[in-house]
Amino acid sequence: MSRPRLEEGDAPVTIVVCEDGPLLVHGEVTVIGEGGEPLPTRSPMVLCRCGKSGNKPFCDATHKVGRA
Amino acid sequence: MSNDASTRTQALPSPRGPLSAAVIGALRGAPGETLALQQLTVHVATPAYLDEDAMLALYVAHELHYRGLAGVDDAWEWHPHLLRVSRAIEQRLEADLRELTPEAADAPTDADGIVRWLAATVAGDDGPSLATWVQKHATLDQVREYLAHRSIVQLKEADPQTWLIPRLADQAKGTAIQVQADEYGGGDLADMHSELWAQAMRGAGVDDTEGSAVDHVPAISLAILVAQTMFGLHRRLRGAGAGFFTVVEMTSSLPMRRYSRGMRRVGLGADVQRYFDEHVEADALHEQLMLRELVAPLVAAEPEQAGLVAFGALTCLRLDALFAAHLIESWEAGRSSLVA
Repeated sequence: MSRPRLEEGDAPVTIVVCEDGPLLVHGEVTVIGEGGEPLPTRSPMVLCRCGKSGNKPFCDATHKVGRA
Repeated sequence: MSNDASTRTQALPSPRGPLSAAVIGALRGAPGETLALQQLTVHVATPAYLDEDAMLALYVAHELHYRGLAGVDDAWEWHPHLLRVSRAIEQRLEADLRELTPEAADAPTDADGIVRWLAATVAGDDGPSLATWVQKHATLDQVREYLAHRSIVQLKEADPQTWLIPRLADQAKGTAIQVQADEYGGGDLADMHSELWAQAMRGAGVDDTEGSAVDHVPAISLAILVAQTMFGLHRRLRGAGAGFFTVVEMTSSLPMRRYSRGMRRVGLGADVQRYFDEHVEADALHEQLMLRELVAPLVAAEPEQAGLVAFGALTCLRLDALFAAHLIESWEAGRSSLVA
């Protein structure tokens, strides 16, 4: 579960699917918003996978709300 | 060399009992004059994390490892007579924290297991929510009290965890550096989280001078820093430092939004809210990085650290719960949560 080690020829971006959590994206990517504009991003970044984030497309941990 | 108050080092606080009086009294003199410290019987009440005198004495001794104290000779940092006293308090503190967190002994010792255990433990934590209280009920004065209490930790945000870096290896070390770089604003003073906290204090009309709140906060507010400092200073406790750090990141995003809304509700502006807003998205990322790319590789490489990770994680949850309970109980009773 350590950070994936990139080998020569691998894609420069990796996406880790976090159990009961977001998509953890390593590597330089451009995220285009709904209005067609590039969004300011962090690298790495976490993208919402539950649809409940108040800061979509990024994760803000709202997936944990209401979970037992 | 002595420190000078003009270098923004904090002043010595007022003693609260025999231990802190002996430590503070000794620090006013040269590091050779230590009869009072040599003869001192280190009596710590149980639990140590609620002992006003012991937590203040240890806070002051630890401060010598950070940025020092105004008028105190820096050579005190490694003076054996002071170290004897601080070590005796630390031993009692560690024993009492272990008693507070007995289920740490049952945590899994494999990487996947400890990550799932941390997620389940934090999700199942039923400590009182200070953030919800601040969001819905706090007055402006209560918000100011909260900012003062937490300034003990937040004005040195990330510093206790920086000691982890040379004690970790490989990806765990890399992840610690990556998260810490965010905490330190990527090296820009204006973005450092400690500076954002100071800005929030100023915006709310609270003195943001480091150490100015020490005389006004109870033992539990000091203990939250003192425990992290102890985990940072002792390589033996690196797993506990990692566990505490991870839970700080895991319990941040959602409460930070609530604090921000509370600040806005009492009429505080964007300068105060910025610290809290910054943490919502940043800590959603840090939570995943800490779990998957710091704790997991650390425990995979050193499975014997798993119990310490759990100990540090539960220490963070339990001390935060005691802190939250103190503030909420004081406020519900119509009292100030600060020390008179």
